[in-house]
Amino acid sequence: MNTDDRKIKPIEARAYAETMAETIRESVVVLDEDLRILSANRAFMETFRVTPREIENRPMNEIGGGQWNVPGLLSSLRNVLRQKTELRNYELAHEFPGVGQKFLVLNARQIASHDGSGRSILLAIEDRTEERRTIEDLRKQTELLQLAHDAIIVRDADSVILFWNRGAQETYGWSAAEACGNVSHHFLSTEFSEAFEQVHEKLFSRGWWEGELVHLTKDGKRIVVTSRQVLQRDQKGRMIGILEINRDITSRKDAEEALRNLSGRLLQLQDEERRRIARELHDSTGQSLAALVIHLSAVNARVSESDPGAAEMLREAIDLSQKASDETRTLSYLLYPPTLDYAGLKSALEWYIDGFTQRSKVKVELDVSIGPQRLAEIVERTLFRIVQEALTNIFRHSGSEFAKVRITRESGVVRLEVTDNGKGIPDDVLAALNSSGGQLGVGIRGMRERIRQLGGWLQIRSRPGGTTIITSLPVGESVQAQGSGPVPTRPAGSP
Amino acid sequence: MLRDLMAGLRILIVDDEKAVRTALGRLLSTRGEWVVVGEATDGAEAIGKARELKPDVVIMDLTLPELNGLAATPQIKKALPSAEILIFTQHESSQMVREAQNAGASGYLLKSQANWLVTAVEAIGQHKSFFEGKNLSKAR
Repeated sequence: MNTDDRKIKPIEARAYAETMAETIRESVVVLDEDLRILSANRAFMETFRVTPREIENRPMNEIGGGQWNVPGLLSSLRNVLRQKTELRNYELAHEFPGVGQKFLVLNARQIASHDGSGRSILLAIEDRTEERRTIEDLRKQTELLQLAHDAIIVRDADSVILFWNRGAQETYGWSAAEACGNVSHHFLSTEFSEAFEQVHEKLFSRGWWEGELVHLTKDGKRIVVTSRQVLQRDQKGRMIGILEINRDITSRKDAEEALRNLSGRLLQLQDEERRRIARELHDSTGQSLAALVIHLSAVNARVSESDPGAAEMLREAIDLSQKASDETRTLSYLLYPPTLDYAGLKSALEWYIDGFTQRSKVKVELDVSIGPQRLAEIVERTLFRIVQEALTNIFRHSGSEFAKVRITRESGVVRLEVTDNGKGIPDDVLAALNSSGGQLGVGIRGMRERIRQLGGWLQIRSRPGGTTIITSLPVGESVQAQGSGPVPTRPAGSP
Repeated sequence: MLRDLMAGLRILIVDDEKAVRTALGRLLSTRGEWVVVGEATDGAEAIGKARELKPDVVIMDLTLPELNGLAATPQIKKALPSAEILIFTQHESSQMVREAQNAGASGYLLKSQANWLVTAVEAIGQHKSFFEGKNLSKAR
């Protein structure tokens, strides 16, 4: 190839340029020094809805019903030839009659006329209306996101933070400038409620994840948030980001915790009160009633021969006082079995289960393997109450004729299982029982809180055919050996 | 022989409740041939009084200050093997009955069943045991 071949003839160059001008999507116009239109490409005519005849050799400010009558632009264009300047990235937002609002970027420079008669202006008009509208929409949406109190975070596929609203700044203390660009779970020292891999697996397979997270704020405070994360995909299904909305629920959590503590404390107080009343009934009222029976028996012995009528009345009085005495004792035992203090958990459970089976006809198998050392008093009391509660529920709700209570002790932990073969607990009831929400606990739910305060846990498993309540507690300290000294030495001064 | 059996019983009452001790004294006195030789209000005192007064029968409460009835019982039996001990208590528990038997008591009676007391004392006074009756069927 020689150099002559590379030279393009002027006529070919013009055709080449015109072809290019027709092909590109940008509008291109050639103007003379009076801003008359010498030529315009198809894009121009389509964009501004004009025909070649309407524009050819007409001044720019007159075409399309004066749609280009923008004095500032026209004067800048005139200067291109007069002052030999260029128009560079001239931004024009203008309402074009019959076309609408447009956002344009204009560039103009002088070129030689194709016939060599003078100079012309080449004006390139880039229509950025759509792009501008998208940006404007996004800006409006962002404004809305900024108004939200929730922390709204957008992160990319690698968890790098792309967007961080004012709510996020209020929640975490970091500004958007500080947060963006960081990997979110490192940045916030996230503690997940389930494994990180599981969270991601769910997010990518279902498209969303919801749960609680623990985050660290800028000033080092641990906060609990409920987090809802949604995967965002483009039209082709490619993941473009993750939208994360977090709400700080730390104070709610604290309140729930306080309520749970209160709940456990109330149960403990209730237990102490029951114990006090039980002792009072047993030791004080019980003794007086016993003395009454003895007195009446003594009178009866004296008058039985001399006054059979009086003896008969006394007999009835004795029966009544015996009944009152028995009822008082039973009530005091149900309130708080003295054997629990005197003889330990196993004896108390044997006593309770004997009575329970008599009343309910539910057969109970008891298996206690906890060794000779007694458990801490609070642990014994808690386990006794759980068995009491569980057996009562079995009798009332399960329809089971059999129950098994098993208590084992291993490496510092005591484990209790109460099993029945009844009809099971309905799913919604079971879910409520197994949740640790903020409701004030009574029954099993209250027990769960007390167990939690003692460092243990309680779980209920149920299906049609049977229910098992399992609880595990640290053994705690104990001072007395099982079975030794089943009767207390009454402290001096006590009733 | 019959004269020995019918002879007056010497009885020691051990209970920390004055109302109970008084009532017991009155009830036992309905049997003219029985004598309440003494009273004690705790386990340690009961052992001392048993050594000193040598009763035939000890009516023993379980819940006592200083030394409880279950702990005092074997010590009294050791010091005075001929004495028969009747546990007279508010505690309704089959385990407690077993413990009382193991400690050497000859009988067990609930306080609410005091109208059986004379029968029970009579029985153990004749070196029989008294663990049957309403108190035990109810003690389960």
